[in-house]
Amino acid sequence: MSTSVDPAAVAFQRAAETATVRSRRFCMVWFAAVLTLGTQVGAFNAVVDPYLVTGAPRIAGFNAIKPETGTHTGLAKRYLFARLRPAGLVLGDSKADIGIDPGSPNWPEDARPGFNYGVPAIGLPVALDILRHAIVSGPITRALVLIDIEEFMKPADATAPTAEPATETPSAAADFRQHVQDLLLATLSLDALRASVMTVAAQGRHDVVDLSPAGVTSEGGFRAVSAREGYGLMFQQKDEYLARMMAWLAAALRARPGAPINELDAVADMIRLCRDRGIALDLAIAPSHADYLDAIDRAGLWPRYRDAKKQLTLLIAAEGGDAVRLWDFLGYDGYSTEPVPPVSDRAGTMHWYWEPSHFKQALGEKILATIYQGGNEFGVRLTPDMIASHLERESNERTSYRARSEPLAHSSR
Amino acid sequence: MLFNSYEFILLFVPAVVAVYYALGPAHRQAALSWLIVASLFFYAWWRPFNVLLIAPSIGVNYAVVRLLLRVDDRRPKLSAAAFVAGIAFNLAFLGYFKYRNFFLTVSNDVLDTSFALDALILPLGISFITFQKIALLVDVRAGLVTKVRLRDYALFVLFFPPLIAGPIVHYRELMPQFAVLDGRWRSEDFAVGLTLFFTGLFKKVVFADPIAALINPTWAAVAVGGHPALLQAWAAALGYMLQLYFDFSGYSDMAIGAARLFGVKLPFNFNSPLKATNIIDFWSRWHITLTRFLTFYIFSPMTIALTRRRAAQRLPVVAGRTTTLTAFLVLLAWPTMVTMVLAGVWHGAGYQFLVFGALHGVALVVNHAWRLRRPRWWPSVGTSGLIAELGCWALTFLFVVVAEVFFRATSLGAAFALLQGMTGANGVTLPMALIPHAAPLLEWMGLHAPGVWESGSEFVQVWGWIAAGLIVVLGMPNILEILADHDPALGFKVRPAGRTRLLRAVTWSPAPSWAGLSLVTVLGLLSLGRLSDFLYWHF
Repeated sequence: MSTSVDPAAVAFQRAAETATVRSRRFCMVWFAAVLTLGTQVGAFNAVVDPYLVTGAPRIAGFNAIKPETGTHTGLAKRYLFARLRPAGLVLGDSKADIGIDPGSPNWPEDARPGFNYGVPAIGLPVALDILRHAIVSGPITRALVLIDIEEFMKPADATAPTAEPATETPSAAADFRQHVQDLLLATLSLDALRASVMTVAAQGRHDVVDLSPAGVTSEGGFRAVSAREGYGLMFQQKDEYLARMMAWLAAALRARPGAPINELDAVADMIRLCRDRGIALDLAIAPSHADYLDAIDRAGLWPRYRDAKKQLTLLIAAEGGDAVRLWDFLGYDGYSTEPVPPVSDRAGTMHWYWEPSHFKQALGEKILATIYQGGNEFGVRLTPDMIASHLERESNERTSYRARSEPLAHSSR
Repeated sequence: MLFNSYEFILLFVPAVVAVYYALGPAHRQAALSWLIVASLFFYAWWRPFNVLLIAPSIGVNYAVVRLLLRVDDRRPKLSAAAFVAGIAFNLAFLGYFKYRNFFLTVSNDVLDTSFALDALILPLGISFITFQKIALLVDVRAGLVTKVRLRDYALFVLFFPPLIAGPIVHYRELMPQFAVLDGRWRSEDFAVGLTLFFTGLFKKVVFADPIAALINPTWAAVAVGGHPALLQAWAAALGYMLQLYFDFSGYSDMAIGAARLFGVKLPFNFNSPLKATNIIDFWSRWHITLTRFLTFYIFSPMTIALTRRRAAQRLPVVAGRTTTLTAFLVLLAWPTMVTMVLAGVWHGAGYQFLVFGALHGVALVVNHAWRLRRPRWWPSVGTSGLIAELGCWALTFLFVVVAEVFFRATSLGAAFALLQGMTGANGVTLPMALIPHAAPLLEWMGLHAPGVWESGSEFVQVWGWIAAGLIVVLGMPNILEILADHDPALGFKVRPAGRTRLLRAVTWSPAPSWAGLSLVTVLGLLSLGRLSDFLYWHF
């Protein structure tokens, strides 16, 4: 007995089976390709380690120089710090990040190894948070905090809530989440892939940013710009920026006359935290070139500048007593009045400054020598006893400096 | 949980798919229940409180649906009362959470009252969820849906792919599919679903997000009183147009793709809208499920009711080329304006959304009038032919870009500030290197002497992304067209005339060569680190 089979139905059935087989094969190839490509990218990024997250060895000619840490400084330093477990810390913004080397012979022995946890564009409240998190990882014996005087000159926001209580013990779950997120960003991301390629391509160059194991950002970036554009142009551009910024600050203060000095709460919190934890704390007003002071002066902010220094001195003496020291490296001296080459002289060089706000590591050494080695070549310790005479002397120096030099921002330097 | 997050793509979806197919045909009911549980988890992930906010609304709607089904035509008054109460409840629910502050602001502005504006927690996806529930009530009342069980209702409301931002789906579209879902693995569904999902992800993270990062500073500046120069303003407007398209169409592709992993086809939401050659065409390609909702539930009922009334009064109705002005105004212009103003404020509570809707309403009215009157008044003016079509496209595109300025701006003032920049009233800025070349041209055009666009690389990036985005949206077939041979979405078909040589060359098939899309997948996955939410999640 024979059964009749519809050829069309058979053909349809076969086509359906073929489509199923093809789709299954497509899925398998797709999945295998995604897995392979993803693994390769992840492995490449993990080995190159452009942001210093995985801790892969630094191999000369392959990944030893880390130029991408220049844009991911906070991320890179979080992991460098965890690996180093330092006893001493440098905190602050880009000035600290580039200018202070805790591996220097001038860094105190009782705070070794030292680590530079300066992160560009952060204020004192964030530095305080970094300190809070750092002391969870291990005992810190000393901290040096570089402070920007302009941050204190800003009007304190009267409506802002008072600082949150210290979150000294971040939860293990939050830490784990952060770590997983960082690891994904540093390995399985397009940004990391681009950064890895740039890292490998930058090896052998000396004019790029790098980050040392002690957390010091190299001066390669500034070196490249100064070689390309010259110090004169770098100063001119920053002078223009400073003029705008100070004008904005003056307007903000005019809108709120009598506004209290900014960030004093964070200073007080930091002093209390260090006192409770037995950390020797030094705060240093970061040095800047005389052009910076000139911008303050021209914007009519000199009284505010004096007031900020004075109130800082009084607060630190009141909260910290003799245990906490405040140093002033900002003023008119042989370093800050170093002549700037004219814009036309691209080959001209400077010893102490890259531009008005950023000092070189050579000057950073002088800072460390003064604070930790008893040097008296540069800077002065501020105390309530001498603050009035110190400010008076500084004002006189300003007058005599202005009398003998034409400020840069408005000259044809 | 964001579609473009590691937890959604690498944990949630694989887990839901694995359990669903593991339960499989042998435990079909459990597999469907699993989808409900997983969807609730998905909804609660962002803020568990969301579930508590939305649950009462779901409960009330189900009760009204049951009542409507039970009372049927024999008790019309009770049925009508239940229906009106259900609609009113949904509108009140939406109104309270989404529009309370807007109405209080209007009252403060217009009536000089001084109501305090409180920050309200907006339940996630409230606009989309409410629309779907209203649609179901209307369908039940109209007899289009005759049976609703609790689990089916929960699946309809909670099924996670379209839950937060659509596509807006009808009960009668979804339920017949769930009724025949057998939990059996089908490779073709998976292949199509993966392709759609990861193409959508690519659009979002590789196009929308980088463009947003480049133009957001300009939008932030106008929000606080900035005055952008000509090219900055145009970059912000064009960039936002592209960002919105890549973001929302990418999201829709991902939703359709995610549903397809379970064998469910969702309706399509975008069909190359920026290629539209008139504004009616645009709305038939842009956010299509919203357009059909508004047409079906607002525009058509209004038009039908008004037409019946006029016909009963023996007044002229719309009748092609012989339509009278009054009939046009009452039966087409008025319902169009009402519908589009509602569409505008549906997107957000603010004057700028109202203006956005009204602008599109006016454009649609003009377009309808043109269609009716052009053959009679300007019979020689054609709309076919390459030049005419290019002109029509340019006009439509320009209008859409300008209207989107109101959609994006944080206030009317910010929108006008950007538009002012687009006219060149704030001058032009160019990178230093271009100024010597462009200055004579700009002077000839009567524009102010060019200022300096400070970062040359930023200029190149902004305009490079805009150029790349325009090439993709205007020069390429969309992903649904590419997948058209495999029913990518409910009701999607490519007309034979639309099968261009380019489309035929790039038509998808489950061949190993198309698994090269894995590169798109990997690029999308590698861009997940820059997390950003979808624009329509805020609506």
